[in-house]
Amino acid sequence: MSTSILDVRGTKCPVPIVKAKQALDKLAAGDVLEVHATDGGSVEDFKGWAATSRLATLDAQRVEQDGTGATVYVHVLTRKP
Amino acid sequence: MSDDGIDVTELLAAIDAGERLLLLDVRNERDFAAWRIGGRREPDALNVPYFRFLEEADAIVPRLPRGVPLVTVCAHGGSSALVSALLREHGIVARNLVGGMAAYGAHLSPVRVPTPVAERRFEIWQVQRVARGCLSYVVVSGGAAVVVDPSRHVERYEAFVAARNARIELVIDTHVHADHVSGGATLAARNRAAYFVGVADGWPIGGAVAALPAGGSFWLRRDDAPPLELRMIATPGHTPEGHAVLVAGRWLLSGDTLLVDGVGRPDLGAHALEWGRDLYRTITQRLAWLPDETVVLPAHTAAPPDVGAHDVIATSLGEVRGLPELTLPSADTFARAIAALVGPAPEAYAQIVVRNRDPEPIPPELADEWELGPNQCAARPGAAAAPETR
Repeated sequence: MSTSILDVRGTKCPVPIVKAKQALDKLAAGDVLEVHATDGGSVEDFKGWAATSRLATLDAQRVEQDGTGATVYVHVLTRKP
Repeated sequence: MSDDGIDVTELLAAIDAGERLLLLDVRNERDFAAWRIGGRREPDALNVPYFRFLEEADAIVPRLPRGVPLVTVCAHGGSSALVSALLREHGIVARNLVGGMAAYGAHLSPVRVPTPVAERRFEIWQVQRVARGCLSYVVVSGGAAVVVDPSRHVERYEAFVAARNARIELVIDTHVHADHVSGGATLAARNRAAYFVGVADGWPIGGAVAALPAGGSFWLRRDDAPPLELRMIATPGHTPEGHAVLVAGRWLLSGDTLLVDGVGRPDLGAHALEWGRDLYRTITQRLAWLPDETVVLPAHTAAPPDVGAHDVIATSLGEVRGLPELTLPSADTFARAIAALVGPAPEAYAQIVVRNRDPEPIPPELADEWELGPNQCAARPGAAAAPETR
């Protein structure tokens, strides 16, 4: 089991979910992926996507600030078997 | 415009013309429920979030309606471009709304207000922001222009005025808006024009604001055209610092004080009854001298979908005076009746008011977020008599 970080700051939909999906495809069951996004729309999108996805579960979402003061939305996903 | 893109102007024209099309809105369900594309007619729309296409396109695509052109829509046009490309690969006719809901929200459509032939020395244009039901105005006379209640898309007003061979000399906000981020101060500064907005006790305004001229009227004087009077009339009520602008003695840019089939809500400052009583006195006393034929040109429609692409949104003062609540016998009964009618406040109105009183630049993304959703600045006295069926 591993935890990796996917940095999609500065991108807008659909990029955060498209890239998260590509990253999750390469992970093993139980691996954790933290997606760091600046697009506020990603919060509701990740919720909606994870609700029906066969690829991952959404374990947590939190809001942070990065070094530049930008708001970062962190989505914590676990690869499904 | 490429084959696979459609812009807001073309889409709204198609909707208004009743062309068959289906909007495939690929935003998440919550955003779709909060705000969607309107127009004179409500277009048919289907909501399938883009992330479902990413995972199960093969299951979804065969279930989409065939034989009707699709227009894909999302927040900024990125996800919907992905989906429309995917649909075309499956042989489905689909075009993408370029710029998405952000472009729709920013779309401005100018409509000429009819003035009698004798008055052709000046032009009044009603600039409709279809998505939000916000109405702003451009008055042009002999190479000089006044812009009233502009939205933050200031370049659009500059281009429009330049195309009419005029220069912006004055920008007016009828009041400190609560529903949209004003472009007033910015537009004035960029064009070295004067900026006017009323100032009420306890409602200071940051930045430079022009004083009311002696006599209470601004005059547009340019070239050989006769001077055009813009008479400023204080209209406390919707907000305490509000002013209406009476153009050439007949066209009343009424801000949110008077609307078509309604009045502006007086409850956005935590003084609903006090401001409500002011509103009653403004309409029944301060505006009492104006004739019934006065053309009322408001700053909002009561409901955004009422905005057509071609029609001026206007009423007459006589019509407004006939509203049931305005026939109530006192300021107090009026204020109580209105207080009982108002719906939920605009979502981000408190932040918007703070920004509009101290007009510092804010990121467009933040303004987009504040301005999401339908407009809610009207208290609708007319609604009691004619309930909305929507």
